[in-house]
Formats: sequence, structure tokens, C-alpha cells
Amino acid sequence: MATGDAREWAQWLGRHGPALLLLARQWVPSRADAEDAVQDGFLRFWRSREKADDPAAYLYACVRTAALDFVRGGRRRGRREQAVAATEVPPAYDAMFTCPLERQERREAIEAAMRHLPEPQREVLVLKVWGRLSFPQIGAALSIPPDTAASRYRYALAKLREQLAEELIR
Amino acid sequence: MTDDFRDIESELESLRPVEPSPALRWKVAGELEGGPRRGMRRLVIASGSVAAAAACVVVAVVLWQTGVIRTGFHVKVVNVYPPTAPTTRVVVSPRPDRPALGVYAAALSGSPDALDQLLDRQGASLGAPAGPSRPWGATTELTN
Repeated sequence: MATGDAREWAQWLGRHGPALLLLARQWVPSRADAEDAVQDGFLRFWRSREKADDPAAYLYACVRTAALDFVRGGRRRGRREQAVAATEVPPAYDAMFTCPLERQERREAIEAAMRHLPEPQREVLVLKVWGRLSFPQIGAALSIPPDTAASRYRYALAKLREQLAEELIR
Repeated sequence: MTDDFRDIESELESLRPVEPSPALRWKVAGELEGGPRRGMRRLVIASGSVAAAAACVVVAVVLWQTGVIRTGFHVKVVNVYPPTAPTTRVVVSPRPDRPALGVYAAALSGSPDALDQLLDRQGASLGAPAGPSRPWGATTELTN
């Protein structure tokens, strides 16, 4: 592989890595497993990126597919390893975001509110806010019309704001 | 987005997603930058496997042709030749100088003397010394 090519994939991974990991963790809660899904998706993207009309949208679509594949495989594995898992201590919840210490409580509230969002809204939210994709790009990544992506985004924001407001009242 | 959601959008954007671990970058680098070398290694392994299989076939053919092996299962060839004991074959050959069996039977049916006379005549005609004669012109051959 040429040096320029190597630098190029590193730039792609550096620029989109955090958002890709966050996207994968919408289906794969474990950070280590989510990184495996990101790796699979990124490799799939990199080896076939020439055929994509919009590489950025295609990258997120690849990682999303890899995460879903991982979950499907994990469910099959889970049935076999159910007895083993039952004896293990459940892993501590890994934070999805980094923020200053004084905002940790707010971060936890936002993460909890996000977990309550329907999956279609949650993935649009991640792609828009942290992936910085436009609605047409989100539509291409998720195979939905851009208007549908926009409406899901609005619903997600409205629910988040509502849940966070309730959190403040408590 | 509309101004209705500007506040919540700003708050979300202020959160930074967790960075992937350096291990992810190493793994991706290993897959992408080690690709050609790994492909070459696979090619070498595949070529070696094919060559080993071909060599096995050649060795098997040579062993087959030289008779070291015959079939996949053990076959013991028992040599039944030569036979364990000689067989006796009786060949009855007609001899023009000797009477047929019917002549002896007719002489015997007449009288014992008639048979004696027949034998005496036969012995005189052959010029053989007197002694035990082989009955009825039978010869015995030993054959293997």
C-alpha cells in the first residue's frame, strides 16, 4: 500500500472514528465489541469505496451494517453462551461521550434520554449531530428519503428536550 | 435546523463522542497495510498444498506400477500352482497289435481255457517274455 493511501485511510478513521464508534454503540453496547464492528465496517468501506457516490454516507452505512451483523451473530452466540454469561458480573456501562467533570451528570442524563429514543430516530440523531451528515446523506446511508430523515431528527430532538426537561424537574 | 431546537442541538454538539482506542487503528493498519504480504503468504501456502498433492499422486502411481501396492485394500494372492500331489491320469490308447476288450470278454464267456489260449497267442505274437502283462492294454502316465 502506498504511503499516501495509508495516510488517507488514517485521516478518514481519525475524522469519523468517534462518530462511527458512537453509531455502532447504538446496537452494540460494549465498547470493545463496537470497535470490532467499526473495524469490519471501515475495512468493508475502504476496499469498496470507489463504487460509492457519497463516500461519507457509504462509510456510515458500512459501519451500521457491520454493527447489525455483529448483533445478529451475537444473538446466536448468546444462546450458546447464556450459561456462561449468567455467571459473569455485567460490565460497567461505558460512557458514550467525554465532557468536563462538572457536566458529567448532564451527560449521563443525555445518554439515558438517548437510550429511550426509538432506534430509527437515534441513528438519525447520531448521523446528523456527530457524523455531521446532511439529510440527503443520511437518507443515502439509511436508504430512506431525506424528508423522512429530517422528520425523524425533529422527533428525536423534541423527545430529548422533553425528557431532559423532566430530568431537570426531578 | 429550526431555531426551536437550536438549544438542544447546541448542547448535543458540545458533547464529544469517545475516541476509539489505538488498538482499532492498529488492527485496521494491519489489515490494510499487511494486505499484499498476507495475500502472498496465502498464495505460497496454496501453491505448496497443490504441489504436495501432485507429488502424492505421482508417488502413488509409481508404487502402483511397480507393484508395491495394488489396491486400497489388502489382497493376498495364494499361489495354487503347482498342485500339492501329482495326479494320475489314465490314458487308454487303442493298440492295433492287441485285441479289443470285447475279444477278451468273448473268450472268457466261452471258457477259461479260451482266454488262456488267447493270451498265449497274444504273447507269442508280441515276442514278449512270459510274465505279468498289463491288462487290457492300459498305460499309465504320471502327469503334473
